[in-house]
Amino acid sequence: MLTKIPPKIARGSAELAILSLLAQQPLYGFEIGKQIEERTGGALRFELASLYPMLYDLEKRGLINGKWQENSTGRDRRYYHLTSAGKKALEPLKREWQAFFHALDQLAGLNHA
Amino acid sequence: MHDWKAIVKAQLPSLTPEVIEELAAHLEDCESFLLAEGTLPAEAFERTRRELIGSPDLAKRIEQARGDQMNHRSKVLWLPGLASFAASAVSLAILQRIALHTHAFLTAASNPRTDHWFAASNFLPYFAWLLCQPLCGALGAGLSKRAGGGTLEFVGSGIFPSLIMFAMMVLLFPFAIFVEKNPYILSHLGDAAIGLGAWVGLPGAFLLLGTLPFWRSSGAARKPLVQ
Repeated sequence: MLTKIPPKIARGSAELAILSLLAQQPLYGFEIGKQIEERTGGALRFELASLYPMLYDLEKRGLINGKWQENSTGRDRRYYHLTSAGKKALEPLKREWQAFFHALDQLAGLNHA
Repeated sequence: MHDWKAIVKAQLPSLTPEVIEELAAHLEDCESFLLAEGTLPAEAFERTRRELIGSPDLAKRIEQARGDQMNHRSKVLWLPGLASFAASAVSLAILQRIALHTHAFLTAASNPRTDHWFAASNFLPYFAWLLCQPLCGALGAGLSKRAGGGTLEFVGSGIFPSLIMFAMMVLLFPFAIFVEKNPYILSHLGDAAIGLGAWVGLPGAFLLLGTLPFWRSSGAARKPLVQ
């Protein structure tokens, strides 16, 4: 079982987590939160209070775009799509995180801990 | 299923309808998910509700994140206050205009029977204006309350015209006394005090009257929804 990541660290990674998910398919807020939790085995968890300010911030910056659409149960949900600016921002963001983990690994030997 | 839209609206009234709709949809999904997992309805509701009330500054953070909106204080104090001030100023201008016509009419009709009406007509616009003030106060308080203003904010918005008049007098009197050394003001300090009462105190009390209905609904709206 994975250790739950503290909120301070989780918040920093939220942008990468959300953009990576939306690069695969458009999702609405609840789905984004659930998928992040499931795919990280519960290590990363974003509740309503942390998820939506992040989504709105990403939308304001033009990286994602929300549109109301019907979901599979016929209810209107605001689906978030990755914009072309978001696609462009994702690759450098991944590289930044890779470099960050690499640096931490070198410093603290995380892979061998 | 609970009416999450009403709950979100009661809890975070300053948010836009679209955001309220989206948060309500999230909470609806959250409750449905917990119920489908086999959680008892009361517990599912409580856990879902905790998502909403767990962060007291959520509305502020969402507004900041969206960035396209004016800040909270502008919505709950400055704009409603200015609306109240504009209504008060416009009503005074209209009433003075009407009074000018009445005055001209009474002056033209030099019938002694109208003399006391003639004297009273000088004060009529002022008293009519005072009677309009509760409406101006209600306008400010109502707009502030609707935008999610607390007690201090909606009362402040309601009595805003009086606060502006007070600020002007507080600035003008010392200026006239100490800088201009205005002999009229210096020899009529009693009149200045009457002016303060007539243009600040009394209208303030009438404006405050207009905020009264909002005092009553002040804490009652949220209670049944979040129990």
